[in-house]
Amino acid sequence: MMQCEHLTVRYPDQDYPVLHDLSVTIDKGETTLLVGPSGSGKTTFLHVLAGLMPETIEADVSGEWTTDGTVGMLFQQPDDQFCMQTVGAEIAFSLENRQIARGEMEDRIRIVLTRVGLDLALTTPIAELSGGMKQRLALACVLALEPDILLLDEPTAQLDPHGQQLMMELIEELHHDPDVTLVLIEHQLERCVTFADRVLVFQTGQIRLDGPPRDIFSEHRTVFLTKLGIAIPRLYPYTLGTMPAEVAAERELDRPPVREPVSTEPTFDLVDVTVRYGKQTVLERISLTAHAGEWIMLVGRNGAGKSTLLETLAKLLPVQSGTIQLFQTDLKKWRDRMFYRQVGFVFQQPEFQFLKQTVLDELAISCPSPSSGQMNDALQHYRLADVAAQSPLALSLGQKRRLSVATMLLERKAVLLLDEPTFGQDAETTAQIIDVLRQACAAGTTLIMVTHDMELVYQQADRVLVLGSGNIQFDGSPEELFQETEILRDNQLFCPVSYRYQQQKEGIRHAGKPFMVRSN
Amino acid sequence: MQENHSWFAQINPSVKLAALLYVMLLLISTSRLQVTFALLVLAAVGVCCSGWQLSTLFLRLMPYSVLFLLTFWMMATFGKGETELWTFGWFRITEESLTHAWLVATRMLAFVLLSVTFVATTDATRFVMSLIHQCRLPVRLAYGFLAGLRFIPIFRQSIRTIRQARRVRQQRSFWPWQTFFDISLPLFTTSILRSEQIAIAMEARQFRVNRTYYVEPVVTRGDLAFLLIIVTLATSLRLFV
Repeated sequence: MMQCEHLTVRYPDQDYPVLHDLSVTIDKGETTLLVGPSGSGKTTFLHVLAGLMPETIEADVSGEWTTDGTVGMLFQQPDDQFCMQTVGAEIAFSLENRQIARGEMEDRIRIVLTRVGLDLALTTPIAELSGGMKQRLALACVLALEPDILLLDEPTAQLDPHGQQLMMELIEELHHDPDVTLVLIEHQLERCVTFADRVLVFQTGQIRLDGPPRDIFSEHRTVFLTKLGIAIPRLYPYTLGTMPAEVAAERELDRPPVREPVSTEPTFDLVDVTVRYGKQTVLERISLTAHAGEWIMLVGRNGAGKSTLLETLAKLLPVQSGTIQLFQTDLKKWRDRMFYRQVGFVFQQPEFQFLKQTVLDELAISCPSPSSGQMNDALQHYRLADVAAQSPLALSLGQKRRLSVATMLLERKAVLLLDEPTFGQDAETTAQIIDVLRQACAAGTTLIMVTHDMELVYQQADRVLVLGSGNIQFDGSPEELFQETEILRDNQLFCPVSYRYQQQKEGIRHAGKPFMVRSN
Repeated sequence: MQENHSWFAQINPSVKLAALLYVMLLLISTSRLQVTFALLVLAAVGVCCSGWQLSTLFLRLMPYSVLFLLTFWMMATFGKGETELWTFGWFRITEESLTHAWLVATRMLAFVLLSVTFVATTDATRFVMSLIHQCRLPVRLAYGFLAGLRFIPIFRQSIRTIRQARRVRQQRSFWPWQTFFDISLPLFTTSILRSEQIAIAMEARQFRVNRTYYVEPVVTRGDLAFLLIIVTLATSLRLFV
């Protein structure tokens, strides 16, 4: 059981408390989902419950709080939770802290590894694991503490869809353990609401709503939640079969608008391109023609060579054989100065592409001839006016992402390469970025974008490429891809909810009567 | 760091370090060329026992041999001395400077070989654990150091991205140190945040000083025998060569 009475937390450098006079009791074995806009105090609440305040994280804490039993906490960033080099030693670190005898460790390590579905040698270096595996390892480390209370802070936010799915399965399994009390912050609402016992809605450091999911996400509340800036589940409380049409429109489950055919003017033209990384062949005989104003999305599992293809197109990696042309001129013949005026690159980690000390300077060097009017427009357009004088490194995640896109789009580019620009971003920032990119696309820029978000692929892409084991395994429209079940399965891809909903509707129309929907 | 499972890798890291430090101490305590050569041979035997293949060994030691030649040349041509052997332009080799050059260059090479042997045969985790158990290194410091080691590959990846970004945005610095600052600033800001995160995660896993150990290196008789042999051998080389 956990109990908070009049809990108030204020960070040393802030004027307003993050948590304000919060009182709540969470029962043993209960699974509680925390939702709320960013900055509403959800993570701070978990830190307090984890006993990290005020000793480890400096803050003024007042009020009373008690937790019965040992607490384990899983964090958002898979990479920032480890302190050892190998899988075995990392889990052992938890056991060492509990002063488990050395002879028992090996067995216990194997038990938790099996529990999270990792079949690895204990000497495997952590650096070799994918993000999804790292996060499952992190969960294994927390489980090795044998916690009565498990706190999860957006455990799937930094994972690809396949990793997310495996992680959600593990979390649901933990929920069924009657001895474990789960408190989680998670944006994958669709899955969570089906098993959570209780939802707490946070706003500006207070709990605004408290109740079972059916109550919180009931129809009359969705408007309120949306106004708070809280994402709501796409289907809940309905299913694909019982979704009323008018709600479906509201929740953006419609078929994407029919795209106008793109121009036939080619930008990039690849013939039999092979790229090696050391001795390993990453891309093998890739041929592809991109057109002006076309939005191409690259999908595929981790390590399929998506980023390598982008880097090759950006002239950052050498080509072993084959030719790449931009506007019928071989890449090797392009001068760097001219080439990078035509081709832009938005990196996955925005903080590494900033060069100047302030946001304004950063925008200014991205323009061929900056004028103050143009700068102001750009600041307004990308919603960076408030932070114009700040260092780009001090911005929030969403602001950094908007700035990184802005620096690439202030000068009109022929081609823009993007490496997962919406990854880990909230719904609002994603929508803004997509909006800006759509405009660039309409102005004739070719967008080549790596993504894991199949919803985005369905709604926005003119063309989707599936990259697997160094080859292009599929090249066509999103709708065509979603019919290729084998390709989807082999590449760990999923159909988006909106597509499945459209399929369902189609089925009903053809059958002439509603499908019987099974209740469980 | 450890790359193989040679016999050298089995020795307790602290004992191994002590033995190597002793040889290094002898190296700087002597100015006789013969002794330095003898100890260099000892170090070379050490490298050969470190379990590397000859081709790898050759490749790894290439940069150091260049350094060896450079040191030798600098010391020989610009050193002080009376008995002139050869002059050309600014270069002037004397008998004294030549002896001195040999001494410094071989000493340096011996140091390099000893360090390479240690690095190649020592697992970082086991080394730090051994420092905790055999040398009473504070636990918090030790685990902090291990966590820090994980930053090296992360740094390498980040630097690559920053360089790529600078190329795409056609940003070149006029002064070389500007490049250094431009690359290190984002690197440091991100790593401060990350190290904070890691510290919080470690605390959340109930990190404490009173603990048991998964890896607990002990000093065996074999380790002591090794230490004894090296010390005797090196001392007799120092005294009697």
